[in-house]
Amino acid sequence: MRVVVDALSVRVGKAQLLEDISCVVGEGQWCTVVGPNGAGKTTLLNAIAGTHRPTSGTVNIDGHDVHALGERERAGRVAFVPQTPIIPAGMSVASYVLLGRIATTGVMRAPSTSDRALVDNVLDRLALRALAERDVATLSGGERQRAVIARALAQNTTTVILDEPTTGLDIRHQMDVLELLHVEVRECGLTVIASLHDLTLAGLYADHMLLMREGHIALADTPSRVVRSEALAAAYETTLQVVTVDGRDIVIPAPAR
Amino acid sequence: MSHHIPSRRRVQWFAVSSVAVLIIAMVTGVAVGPTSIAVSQVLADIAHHFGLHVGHVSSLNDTIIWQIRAPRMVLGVLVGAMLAVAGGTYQGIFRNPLADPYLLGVAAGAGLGATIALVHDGGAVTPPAWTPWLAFAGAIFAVTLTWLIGGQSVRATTATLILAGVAVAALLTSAQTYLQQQASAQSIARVYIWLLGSLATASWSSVWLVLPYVVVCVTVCVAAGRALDALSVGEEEAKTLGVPVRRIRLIVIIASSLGTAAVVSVVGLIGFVGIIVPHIVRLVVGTSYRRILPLTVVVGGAFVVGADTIARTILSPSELPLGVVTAAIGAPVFVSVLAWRRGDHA
Repeated sequence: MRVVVDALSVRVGKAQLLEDISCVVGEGQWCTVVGPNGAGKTTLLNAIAGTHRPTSGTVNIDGHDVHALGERERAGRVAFVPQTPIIPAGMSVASYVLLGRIATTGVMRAPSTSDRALVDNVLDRLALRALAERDVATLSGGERQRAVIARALAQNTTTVILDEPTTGLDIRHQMDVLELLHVEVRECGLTVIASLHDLTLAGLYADHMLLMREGHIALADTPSRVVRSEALAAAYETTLQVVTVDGRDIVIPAPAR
Repeated sequence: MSHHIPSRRRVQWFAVSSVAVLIIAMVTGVAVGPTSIAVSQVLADIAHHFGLHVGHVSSLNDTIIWQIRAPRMVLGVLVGAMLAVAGGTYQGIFRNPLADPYLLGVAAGAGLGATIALVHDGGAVTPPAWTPWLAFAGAIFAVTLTWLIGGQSVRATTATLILAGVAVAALLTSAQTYLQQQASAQSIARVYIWLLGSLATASWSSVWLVLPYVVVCVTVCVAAGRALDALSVGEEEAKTLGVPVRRIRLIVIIASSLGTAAVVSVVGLIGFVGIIVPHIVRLVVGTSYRRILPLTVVVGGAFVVGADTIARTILSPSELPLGVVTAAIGAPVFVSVLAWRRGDHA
C-alpha cells in the first residue's frame, strides 16, 4: 500500500479535530474525502501531507513516516495543493512550476536542464505552454488552478494531496482539473487523495471514498455505495436523492416539502 | 497589472546603467568638494595607486583624493550596498514591503551602544575610539534579544519576530533617551549627530574594518535570492516544496543583522536606504529576489555615494547630515519611479 494512515488523531487545545483515523490508499488509486464543513477533511489532508503534526498515530507513504522526514525528503515523496494557495505576483508561470523542483535540486542551486525538461513536459500535459511567460497572478481561476497542480506534479512524487481543487471553478474547469488528474492516475500510476464538495463529481472520479463526520470516518467504501448510503444524508444532516443516468450516480438535494 | 514580467533585456539594461551611474557617482564624489579637482587628475591619481603612471598629480591633490575622498566614496559604497541588500532581504523573508534593515532592533541597539560611549566620555572633541565597538555590541545584543523572544519557539512566525523587534527597539530606545537626557548639552549634540549618520570620519582603516563583514553578509544575502523567491508562496507552502524555512530564516537574519550592525557602528544610523533602494529596483526589474538583490548592491552604493556628495557640497564648507539627504532625495526619486511604472503598465 502506498499511503497508510494508522490511528491518526489530531487535537488542538480542547478540540478533537481528528479521532482515530485509519485508512489505506494503493498505487494508482484515487481516494476522495467528502463530508460537511468542519468534519475534519482539511486537517486530515494536512496531516497526511505532513504539514499538520498529529497528536498520535502515523502516516506512512511508500514505507516512510512522513512526520519523521525533513522538509526536503517529504517534498520528494508527497506533493500538496492547499485549498487557497498563495499566488506570488510578478512570477512567471514557468518559474512558479519550477518551484516544484526545489526538493530535488535544492534551494541554493539553479534548476538543471532535466528540471527544465520535466517542467516543460508538465506544462505541455496541462496545456500551460502558451502561458509559460505570463505573470501567474494574472491568470484566470481555471488557469491558476492548473498552474498550482502543475507545480505539484513537477515535484514528481508518487502521491499528490489536493484540498478542494475545484473550489471557485465553473463546471467545465472543474471537469478539466479532475480529468487531468484522472489521466495522471491512470497513465502514471499517481496516487491522489483529494477532498471535494460536489458529491456527483466526487463519485465520478474516485476509486475509493471516505465520508467524514465530526472528526471520524463515518463510512469508507466505493463511491456508489457511499453516495447511496444513509450515512451520507446523516453526515450532512439533510435529505439527498440519488438518481442514476447512463450508469452514473447523480446526487441531488431533496428538500422535504 | 502587466501580464508579463519585465524582460531580461530590461534587467540587463538596468544593470549596465546602474554600474555606470555608480562609477560616475564615485568619480564625481572624489572630484567635487571645497577644493575641486579635475576628473583627469582624479583618474590619474587612482591609476597611480594601482601602479599605472599616467600624468602628474601634486602631493596636495593626492592627499585630498587618496587619503580623504576616495576612502569616503568606498565606505559609502559599502554602507549603501549593505543597507540596501539587508532591506531587500528582510522584505523577502518577512514578506513585508515596509521591512527595513533596522526591523529587528539593530538601530536601537547601536544607538544605545554609541550613546553609552559618547556620554561616558563627557565632552571631548572627538568621539572615543571604541564608540563603533560599543555600537556594534549594542546592535548584536538587540537582534539576539529579539530572536530569543520572538524567533525561537516552534510556533514562531515572522510576525512574532517583527513584534519582538518592535518591543526590543522600544525598550532600548527608552534606555538610550534616558542616558542622553542625563548627559551634558555637548554630549547630547554629539549623540544627535551620530544618530543622523555621516561618512565624515571615513578613512581606509574604517573601510578595512567593515569590508569583511560587508563582503560576507552581502554574498550570503544575494545567494539567498532563490530561497526568498520560493518563500513568496508563504512559509507553509514553501515547506511543502522542500524549503528548509527555519534554517534559511536564521541564516539570512544573521547575515543581514551582522552586516547592518557593522556599517551602522561606523557611520551611524543612515535611514531610508534599505527601504527605498530595493523598491526602486523592484519597480524596474520585477519581484524576483534573484534579480532584485544583486542590483540593490549596485544601486544602494550609488545612492549613498550620490547623497553623500550632495550632503557635503550643498552647504559647503559645512556638511548636512547624510540621513537628511538620503530621505530628502530618496522620497522624490521613489515617487517619480512609482509614477513612471504606473504609466508603463501594459
